[in-house]
Amino acid sequence: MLKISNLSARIEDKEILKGLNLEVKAGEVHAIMGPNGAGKSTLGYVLSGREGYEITGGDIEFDGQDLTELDTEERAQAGLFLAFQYPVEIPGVSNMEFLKASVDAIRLARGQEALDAISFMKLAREKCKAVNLDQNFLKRGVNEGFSGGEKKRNELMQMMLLEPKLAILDETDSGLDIDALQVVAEGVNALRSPDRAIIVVTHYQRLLDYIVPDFVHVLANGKIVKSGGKELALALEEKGYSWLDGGAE
Amino acid sequence: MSDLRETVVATATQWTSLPWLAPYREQSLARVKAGQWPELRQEHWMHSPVRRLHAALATPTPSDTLTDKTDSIPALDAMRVVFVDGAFDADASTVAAMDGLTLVTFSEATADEQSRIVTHLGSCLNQADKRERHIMADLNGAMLSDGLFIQVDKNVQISRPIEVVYRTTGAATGLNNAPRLLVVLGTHAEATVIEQFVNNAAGSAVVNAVAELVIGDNATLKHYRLGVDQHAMVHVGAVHVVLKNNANLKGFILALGSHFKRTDMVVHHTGQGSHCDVTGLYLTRGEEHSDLNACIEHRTPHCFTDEVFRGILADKSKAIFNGRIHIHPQAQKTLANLSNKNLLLDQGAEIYTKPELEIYADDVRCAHGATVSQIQSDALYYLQTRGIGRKEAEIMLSYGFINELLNTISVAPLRAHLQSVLAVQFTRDSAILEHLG
Repeated sequence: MLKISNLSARIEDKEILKGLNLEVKAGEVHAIMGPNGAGKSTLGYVLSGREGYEITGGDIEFDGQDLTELDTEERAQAGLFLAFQYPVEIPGVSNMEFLKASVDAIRLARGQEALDAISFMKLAREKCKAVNLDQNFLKRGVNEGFSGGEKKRNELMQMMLLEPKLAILDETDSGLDIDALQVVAEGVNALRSPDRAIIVVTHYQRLLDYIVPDFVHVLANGKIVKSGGKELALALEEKGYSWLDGGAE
Repeated sequence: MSDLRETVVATATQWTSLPWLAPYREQSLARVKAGQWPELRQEHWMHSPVRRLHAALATPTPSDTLTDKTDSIPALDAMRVVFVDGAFDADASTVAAMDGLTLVTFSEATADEQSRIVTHLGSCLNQADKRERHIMADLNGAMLSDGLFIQVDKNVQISRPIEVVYRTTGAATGLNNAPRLLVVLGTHAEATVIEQFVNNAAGSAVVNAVAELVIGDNATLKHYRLGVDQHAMVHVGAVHVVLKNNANLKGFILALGSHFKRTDMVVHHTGQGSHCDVTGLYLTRGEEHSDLNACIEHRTPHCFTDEVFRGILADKSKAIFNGRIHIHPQAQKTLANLSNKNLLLDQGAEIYTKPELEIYADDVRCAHGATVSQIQSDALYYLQTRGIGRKEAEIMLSYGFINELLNTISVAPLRAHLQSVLAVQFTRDSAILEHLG
């Protein structure tokens, strides 16, 4: 589904990704771990096409197409979803109108009709309940005044509504207490399916107790330095990153 | 230029209308003669394209009147008074008699009402110092022929809004379209007044409107002033307010359209414990120009002001915001906030913003701030990552920027109406409306 070959990228003059390779197939869950500043968040931004992140080499193939040719919104419409580490607050735009605009855009891109307001309300309320968010959050401005945990649950709700082919969760566990972590993990696990892939970017092994990955990769100094099964995460928790080649400098 | 000034003064001198208003007109004319004509070298007008005002006055050209513009606010149950080019239109108005409410035009006022009007006329305007009062407001007085008088008696609460519609047709040229609104609320009285300016002129037309609002002890007035103008319109207007002890003003100003728009909002805290909440929005595009001057005079202790103004400027349009809070030496324990935020959508758009605190008392809390920015790129990116196209995302964000203020409007049908008017303004495409309701 996703094939990244020898990817290099920079922001301004700073080279962050330096020849990254990664292949993710449908149905798989991959975890990417790594020290601070390794390029974990950058990978998510580059994949989603954030302005300012320049690809200087390599290829990204998503679902058979060259991802780099697409605008950010086209990537989302093609089925890519990025759950943010720090979701943006947008006062004045209600969460409901934001979610509807988003769901409509994705549906239209898939050749489906936009949902009427009543069906959408029903769907949104259902998903709200699934992530344990009060329905008042639908009326509030997007993420406006939400706590850290509420923002993450709002991200998860969007993922449930948009049903992406590939979801990248960027440090979704940061700022969550253990109860919220379980809610989020349950939500993610419910979305696991043979035709969907998930990339979990995290600092800590803890999240991987709840979302058990098929593969674990260590990203350090701009590339994947080690890959393995879920036992790799446990080794990292025990020994840190420094024992790996090209690990923390 | 002096020729134009002389012509205007000559027209005002010859102006005849309701005889009982003649003394007030003469008083105003004297101020006009002593006043400064709007020119670029004056601080009042230095960033304004005054030549557009001069041109509209120098060569008054009647134009066609459009018939497709409506002024109705859906689902609003209101008493309605309509003026066309400054003259009362009885057929278009629906007014119900109510105990404790005087709602009458100057042209139909009885002798008793006339004397009450004369008592209050000019009472707010006369509080303003030279800096906050300019020749156009006095020209409104000098050319005064009709207006609306609203008086609510002590302890009377009028819950049904009073809607005042000022329609300007292609025939309104020069300065004779000079309506006046005079609102006087007694102790503990309450009322809601919606002033709506609607411009049906195909060409350049002029309106010069003044409102005076006298809000008595413990009284509450909600005042909405909506100016939705065609591009070629010249719209000059002023709202002057006097707040007495514990009086409340909830004000809202919308400035949309017009290539020369000047709005003044001057509020005088004259009693203790009064509250002034004013919100304003200006949206310009094309080569439009909007100039908004807000001045709050804190003359007495323990009063409160909260002003929030926002502007969105597109294309090559230009806006000016001057927000002054003047705290006199005796106005201790004042609480005052002023915020002005602007969003520039295009390279050619310009904003001049000047928040100003002038404080002569030593025990007050005041804050002011102004920002000028473009659409926040991280918010734009966030929406795009959810599949929303860039153009639509920009629209949602600009709309969100003002929707925060629209949400504070407590008259629900008015809020809904403005949300839809502004959504259309942003999108020019009703398909996007469904997201924005």
